[in-house]
Amino acid sequence: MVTVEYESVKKAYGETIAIEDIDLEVDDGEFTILLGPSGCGKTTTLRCLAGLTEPTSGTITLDGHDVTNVHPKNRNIAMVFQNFALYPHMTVRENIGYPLKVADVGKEERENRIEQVAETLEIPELLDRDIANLSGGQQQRVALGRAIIRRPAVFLMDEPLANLDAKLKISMRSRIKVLQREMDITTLYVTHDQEEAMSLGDKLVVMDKGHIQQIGTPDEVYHQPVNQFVAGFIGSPSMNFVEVSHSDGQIQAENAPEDFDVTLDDAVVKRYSGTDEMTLGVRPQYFSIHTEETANAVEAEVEVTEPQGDEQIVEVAAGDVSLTVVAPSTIDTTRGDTVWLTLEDELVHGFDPETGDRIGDPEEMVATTRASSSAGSQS
Amino acid sequence: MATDTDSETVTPDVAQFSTDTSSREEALLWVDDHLKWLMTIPAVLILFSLTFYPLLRALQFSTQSYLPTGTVFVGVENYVQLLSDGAFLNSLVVTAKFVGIAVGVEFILGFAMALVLNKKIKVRGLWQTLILIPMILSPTVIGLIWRLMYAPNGLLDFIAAPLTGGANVGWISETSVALYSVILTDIWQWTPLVVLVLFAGLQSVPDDISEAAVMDGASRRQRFMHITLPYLKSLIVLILIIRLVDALRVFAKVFILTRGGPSDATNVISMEMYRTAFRFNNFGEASAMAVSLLVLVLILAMSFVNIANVEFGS
Repeated sequence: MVTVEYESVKKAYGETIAIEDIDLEVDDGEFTILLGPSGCGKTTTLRCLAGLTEPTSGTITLDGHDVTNVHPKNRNIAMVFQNFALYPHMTVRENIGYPLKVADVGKEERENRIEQVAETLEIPELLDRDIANLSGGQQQRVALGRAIIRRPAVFLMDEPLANLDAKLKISMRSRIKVLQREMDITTLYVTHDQEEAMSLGDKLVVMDKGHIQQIGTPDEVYHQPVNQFVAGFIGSPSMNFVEVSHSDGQIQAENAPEDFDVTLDDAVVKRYSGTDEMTLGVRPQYFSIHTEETANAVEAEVEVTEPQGDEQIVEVAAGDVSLTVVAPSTIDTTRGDTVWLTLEDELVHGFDPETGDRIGDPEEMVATTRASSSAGSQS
Repeated sequence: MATDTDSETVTPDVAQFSTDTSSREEALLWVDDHLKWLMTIPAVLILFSLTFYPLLRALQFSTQSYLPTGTVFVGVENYVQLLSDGAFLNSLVVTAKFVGIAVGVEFILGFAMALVLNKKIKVRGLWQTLILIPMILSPTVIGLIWRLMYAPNGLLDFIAAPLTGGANVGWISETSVALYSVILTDIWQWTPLVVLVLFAGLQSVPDDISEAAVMDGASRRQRFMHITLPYLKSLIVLILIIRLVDALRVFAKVFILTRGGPSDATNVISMEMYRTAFRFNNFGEASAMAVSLLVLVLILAMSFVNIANVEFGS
């Protein structure tokens, strides 16, 4: 039963601010993902909780106890590092058992627990091997074993899958998720891979430039991004952003008023009443592509098509505006073709061009969420 | 089609080339094949003349007795002689003391200094440079500097005055003190090397491994014993062997500071060897000492590597 709480945590290195105003609550047993581009401060945030980095100000509490100045070894937190950080001169058995050894756990119990952990991770046959002779995936399991053997209160993982190949990543991903569910340990997990974050987390904490941008479930950050950064960072391919002018539901791209000129649905228009200029955000999945002239559509020329199997990514240009569209592979189009794009207008987002904040409050986005959830499951 | 014609034209060409090779070309081909070996010949010759030739000559000398009329083969007599040579046996004891104390203190002090340097201390670069100065001076210069400092009423007497009440210690003239003075000079000269090597080793311990140990709950002492020491193991053995071998052969420092005196108190093996050879003109016994020292050094170094079970370069 462990909750984690950050209260206005800040870490600065001289003039450089690594993280600032970090306020975050992690519930007991929750799988929380710290997500953001490199240099956004997610690892610093994690290290502050581990105790490896001392915050400049703010407090961190574990179950209500202030641990900000408690030595890492007294926090009962285990951590998995990006390059596994296994002890190269020890065998697998010694590596996994090390936390128990330094805690003076008797040899017999230690052996039993090492065997148990090895069973859980399906590596009993590796126990007496040297670390140097293990593959990346095997090393990863040993690192996990070393972290879970102590039954820590909190589990920290710093990009634990970053050094694995794509296929192994996916299988280790589900293993980690199952392990976390079974052990029911409060977990903080750092990654820059949004796909990994979406598939693992109960809660996503999206960070940029040392600040938390948004905290929410994977669905929330995907469908209700609070600002342009979150909208652009989550989702693959990235959301299209177009500077547009708006009057009475009429939307025109500023760089291509003739090609990009559409009328939005009344229900959607309400959200943007009183906004003359905004950044329109449309996910590539929420354009429909037509090869024949269609009413209320954006006219564009195909620049590149990238087949992906059952779908294709189509890069188009509407005047000076470049757009990315995900289309079914059944649509036959090639470079130089003229196509027409219609918007699923209830799924578009509007952002303030100055601040990047979302226009329209989440209440009004409810319809969007429902609609998009179904759209999401279709794609 | 194109590839077919290509292969038809190429194959006969190759055959022609290999059958038409003249003897000159054959010689060139041979040189080409063996060039890598030919290139090493000068180096091998130099190495042989500078290392193996003197070694073989020393072996030969050690079996001969030098008389005004010429040399006589005496077999192992010189070696037997050594066993009852009081000066030689004394030099063994003196050398053992010198090596034991000097290398021991250099290692412990050097390790401690490396650990301090490894902390995030201010102006580390300056400290590193200062520490290295003794190492880059020549042994002769060091001997002269320290002889001045050890001189009666010299710097060290001045420093020690509060303890000695102003009386001269006789740093290198007092039998009971002289060896320790020579050892102090050696420590001053060679601790930097230990610092340098072990500091480099400490720097190579990956941060995340130390951090993993912190997260695993290891105390500072446990981290040192379980992580740092195993990481440094091969470097520790390396530096101990380097220092041990070097300390066993110490000569210049002793020669400049004390010439082995007073009354043999600092008469290390090399000093005794030098005296036997060049003062008593007994090249046979001196060579026997040299060969014995070589064997001793070899045995020590090899057993060290074995005890530590270290594989270099792995």
